[in-house]
Amino acid sequence: MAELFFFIAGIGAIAGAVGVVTLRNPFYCVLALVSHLLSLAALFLLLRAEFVAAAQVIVYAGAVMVLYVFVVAYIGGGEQPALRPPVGRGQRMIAGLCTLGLFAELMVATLGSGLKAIDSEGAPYRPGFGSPAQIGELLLTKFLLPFELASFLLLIAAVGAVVLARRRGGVGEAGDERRMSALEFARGPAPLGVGSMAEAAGDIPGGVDAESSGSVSSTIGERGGW
Amino acid sequence: MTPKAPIIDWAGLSPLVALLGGAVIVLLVGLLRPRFVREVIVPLLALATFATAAGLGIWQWGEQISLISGALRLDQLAIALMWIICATGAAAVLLSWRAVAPREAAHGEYYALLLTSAAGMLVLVAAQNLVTLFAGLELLSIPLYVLCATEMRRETSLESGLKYLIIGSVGSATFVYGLAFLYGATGSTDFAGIDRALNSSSLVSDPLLLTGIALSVVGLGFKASIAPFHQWTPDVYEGAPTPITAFMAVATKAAAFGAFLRLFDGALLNAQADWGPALAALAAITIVVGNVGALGQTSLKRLMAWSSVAQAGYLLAGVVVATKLGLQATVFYLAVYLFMNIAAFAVIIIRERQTPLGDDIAAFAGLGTTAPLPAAVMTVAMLSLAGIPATAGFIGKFYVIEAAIDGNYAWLGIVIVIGSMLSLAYYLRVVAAMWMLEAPEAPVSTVTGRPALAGGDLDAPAPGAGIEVYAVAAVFGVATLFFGIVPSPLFDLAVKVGSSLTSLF
Amino acid sequence: MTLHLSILLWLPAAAGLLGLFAGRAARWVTLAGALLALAFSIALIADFDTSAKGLQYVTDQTWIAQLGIHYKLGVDGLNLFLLVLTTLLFAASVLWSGLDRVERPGQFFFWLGLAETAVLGALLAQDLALFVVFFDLMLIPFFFLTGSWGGPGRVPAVLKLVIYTLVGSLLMLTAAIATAVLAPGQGTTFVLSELAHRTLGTGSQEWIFLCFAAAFLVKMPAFPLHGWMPDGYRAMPMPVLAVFSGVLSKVAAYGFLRIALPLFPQAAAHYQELLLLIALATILYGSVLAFTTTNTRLILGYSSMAQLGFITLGIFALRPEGAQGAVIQAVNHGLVVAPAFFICALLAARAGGSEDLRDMGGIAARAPVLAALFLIVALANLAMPGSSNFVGEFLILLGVFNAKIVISIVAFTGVVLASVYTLRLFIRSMHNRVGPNVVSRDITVSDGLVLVPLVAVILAFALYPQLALHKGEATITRSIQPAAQAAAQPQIAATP
Repeated sequence: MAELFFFIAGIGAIAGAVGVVTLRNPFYCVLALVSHLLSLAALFLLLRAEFVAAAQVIVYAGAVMVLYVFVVAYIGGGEQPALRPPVGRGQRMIAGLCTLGLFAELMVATLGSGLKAIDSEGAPYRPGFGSPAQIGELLLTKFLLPFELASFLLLIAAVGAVVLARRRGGVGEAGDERRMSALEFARGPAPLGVGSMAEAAGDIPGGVDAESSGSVSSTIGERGGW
Repeated sequence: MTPKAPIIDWAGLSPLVALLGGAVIVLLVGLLRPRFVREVIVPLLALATFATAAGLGIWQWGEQISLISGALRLDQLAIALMWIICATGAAAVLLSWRAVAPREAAHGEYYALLLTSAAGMLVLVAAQNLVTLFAGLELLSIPLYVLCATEMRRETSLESGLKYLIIGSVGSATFVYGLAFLYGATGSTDFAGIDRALNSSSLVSDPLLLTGIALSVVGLGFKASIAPFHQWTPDVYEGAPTPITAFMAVATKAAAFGAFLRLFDGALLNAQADWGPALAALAAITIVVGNVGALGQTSLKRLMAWSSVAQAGYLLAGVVVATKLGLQATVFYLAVYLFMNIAAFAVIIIRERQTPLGDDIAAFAGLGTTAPLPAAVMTVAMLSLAGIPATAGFIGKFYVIEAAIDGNYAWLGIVIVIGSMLSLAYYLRVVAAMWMLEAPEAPVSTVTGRPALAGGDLDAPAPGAGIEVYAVAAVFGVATLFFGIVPSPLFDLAVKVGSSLTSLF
Repeated sequence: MTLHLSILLWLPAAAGLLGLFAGRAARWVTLAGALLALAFSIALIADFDTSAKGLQYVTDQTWIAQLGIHYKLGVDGLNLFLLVLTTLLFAASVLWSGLDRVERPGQFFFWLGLAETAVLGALLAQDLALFVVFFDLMLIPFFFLTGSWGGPGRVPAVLKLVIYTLVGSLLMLTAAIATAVLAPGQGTTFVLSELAHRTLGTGSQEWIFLCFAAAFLVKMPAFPLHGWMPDGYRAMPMPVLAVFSGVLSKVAAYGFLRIALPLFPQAAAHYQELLLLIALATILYGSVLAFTTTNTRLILGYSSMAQLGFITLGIFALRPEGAQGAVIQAVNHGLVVAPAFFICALLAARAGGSEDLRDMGGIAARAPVLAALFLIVALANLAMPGSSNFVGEFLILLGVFNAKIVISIVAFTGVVLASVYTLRLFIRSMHNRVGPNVVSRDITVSDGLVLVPLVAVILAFALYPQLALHKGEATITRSIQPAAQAAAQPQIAATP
């Protein structure tokens, strides 16, 4: 039963991954990624890692994928021309050769091991290892500090993202004075040029001097931007 | 079974709490409206935070304890490296005072990112658990990625941030993969547990362990810019705002080598036969690659980047030997590296803001006649980096070579001096430009010291180099000279640090 | 024990530092420092106790306790006269440049003062690490002096010079550390007298000795390692070149006697023939090139090379008389080469600024005093019997004759060649057909102020060379004794 399950999930994972890189339509790509992630979650379950499996489904297949879909919807997929990397024929040949070499190496390594591990039961484990309860306990005892650090990391990453997103609307000349201040924010409607999501997406021109900032974003757009 | 709450030693944890708390306060104060608050109070708060953390370090000096169920180790090694990090951070704050970057990124956010990165470094050098180690690495890296891109109107700054992000992520991913292998091989995430596992069993030649060691070397190598994982260094150093470059050059290196020392000379000490020769080879390659790479550079920031690669090689020699002397030499060299590098970057910033040539070596031509004091500081810094006597760099190199020879790596000592010879060619070129060439004919523009902008207004007043930059240059330049002549205080510090890793002898 | 060597050591640098802030008066401040140092060193000779064994006026303080590095200074027969030579030449050089008016005098004299301190430090140091520090530091003032005040093409030339010579010095750094670390015994120490008792194994001795030898031979310079010399000599300002050529090369020779032979006797004996051959090659190469080149600076440069070859020869005869000759010859050569460079500068000034021998000639016509002084210097340089150089070369050749007879015979041709190139320099510049732009005039009073004392010292030393022989004998013999023993009994040396 476990073997059957393994092969189904394994094939699903590989098929999903192949789909992500081969499909043209971004929506289909995202769906393929979802199927890949779900298959991975199934593999985690086979490894008795319930927590990781659950996290995989909730965080990746759920939340992250929703974001992806949002982005794809914003940018408006569909008619995108296929991206053509600016590389020559020679480089492509080399890349292909490297890929082939890597594939051969992996095959040798995998087949060379005789796939012995497939028949075994894997490493012994304690009952309850990797269960949500145990992980939760670990996070609040042994790994309390990394856990807290991770939360701080998320905070600072968000700050960093805001810093970087702000430049999309352009930094006004005297932007300092117009920047969001906590009091102003509480007082009334959000001022312009604060780097809000709407500005980032281009709905509202950022900053009062919309013309100059418009030219900024167009310059960046031409150069590729972020 | 009810889980037992971990004991939290707030006193021991206080420097870390100070840095993180300071970051939050700075972030919030930065939201206030008055310009004065944002441009003066916020940097002052950041400075105060670094000072508080360093002061709490003095208070905790001499402790040797584990914090929060063995996540962190508070000992002299951690505190000494924290001082280096805090000094760098404080210098970076002063160097950023009138810079473009914090204005464009908003002061609160800028300094909060800086403080968080410093906190991440502190975690990294104190970590004695694989999970904490990785958390520290990420906490240090992610703010830096953003900080590199904070001169938002300059394309190279953005490029620098992006490049650092991508390559740094590759490094982090490799590192965490390596840590997973180490865990798989030894069954423990604690350094002490890994040490026990390696001590009691014949794991030493286990392929799982070897893979883990190799991958974690690669991961840390990316952070410490050890060749061949250094390719990002020149581009990122050149593109990032110069105060951030200075911070990265010194503090990141100190943090990465702190992690190196604790992981390799602590947890993996029993596998030294495995990683010793490999790291020694890497050190030799790094020394040669860094010095050769620096030879043809005209941008001083790129030159400093290649030089930092070479210096990473010297530092690695102290790790390779896995002796107490090696540990002391590494810490000593890091302290010396702090002085000479910050002094050099301060002068680079002065020139960058005064001339339209930016950090090009041409900006330094004839500086000896037009501005002898910055030129003198730069000269001392360059000579120290080259390892000329009467500067701290000489003593540092002396110590590292002694450690290498003492640890039966005499050939590495020879490689270090060969690297120093190569390095003379480019350090002396800078010195020669300052004292022996005429100042360029072109009128020195006082209008703008910034390179071409990727957009936005060109008329913003360029920041001058204020008294604070000169003060940083002077203090660190004098320190470079002082510790070259009276090195005993630093030696005392290094010797005390040497007692941190008890397994070394 | 009333004379503190630290005063002698730091006086010139302190004066230079003071001069840095003294503006136009910099030269007088530095000159005062240099003259005081000279007076101090003369007082040392007078006060020196010839009968005492070992070091005198020792200053010994711990510098870096953790590494066993001491700040230890001392004087014995080996460095006594080199100290006087150094202070004398530097005083002359400071006076010369003071009369010459240089640009940015503050910086110039600061570097000159620092250079003197560094050279004195290398000579006085009785601790290996301290020696390395000063030996490396010596180069930095000359880097600035040449690079900022030198002639055309100075920057590339000085970079070449510094990198070339620091290559050797840095190898020596590793070797010095290895000496201390690998030496048997409790704890690490860099003090020379301690290290002399802790003999290294033969294997380590050999590579360490080679590193030291490389450093010293580059500095001298010896034959295959002299690549920096022509460019460097051409670019250096004359007063600086006089001390560079007169003193720095001697520090290298001194290093052999002070460090390489006492600490690595077996290795020195093992590589005796190699070094003798290098010395021989240097003598021949230097002599031949001094004979063929026409640039007066380079004639003196190559002649110095040949002289340094003689000195090396004397040292590696590994016999007391050879080493004594080497020490005397080191002092002699310094005394001769500095006034020779000064005369070169005077000649160039009279030949329309050209330093080429072909543009000179007939300068003696209206310059009898200059001609006479030049003749004295020239005769001293070619080791005229009666001059102190004759004594030195005689002792060296005697030493080599007793050790390796064939080499001494070949080396003798060097003595012959010396007369040829020295006389060629003298005749073609002072006599012969008058050069195109030559305006003959005698020396001025201020020129005489620099030149006459130096020539007077040459004469004095020629009349009374026993002064140096006598005071140095015991120490010099002691310093080469281990190596001489090792050379005499190679079969014992081979089995440590």
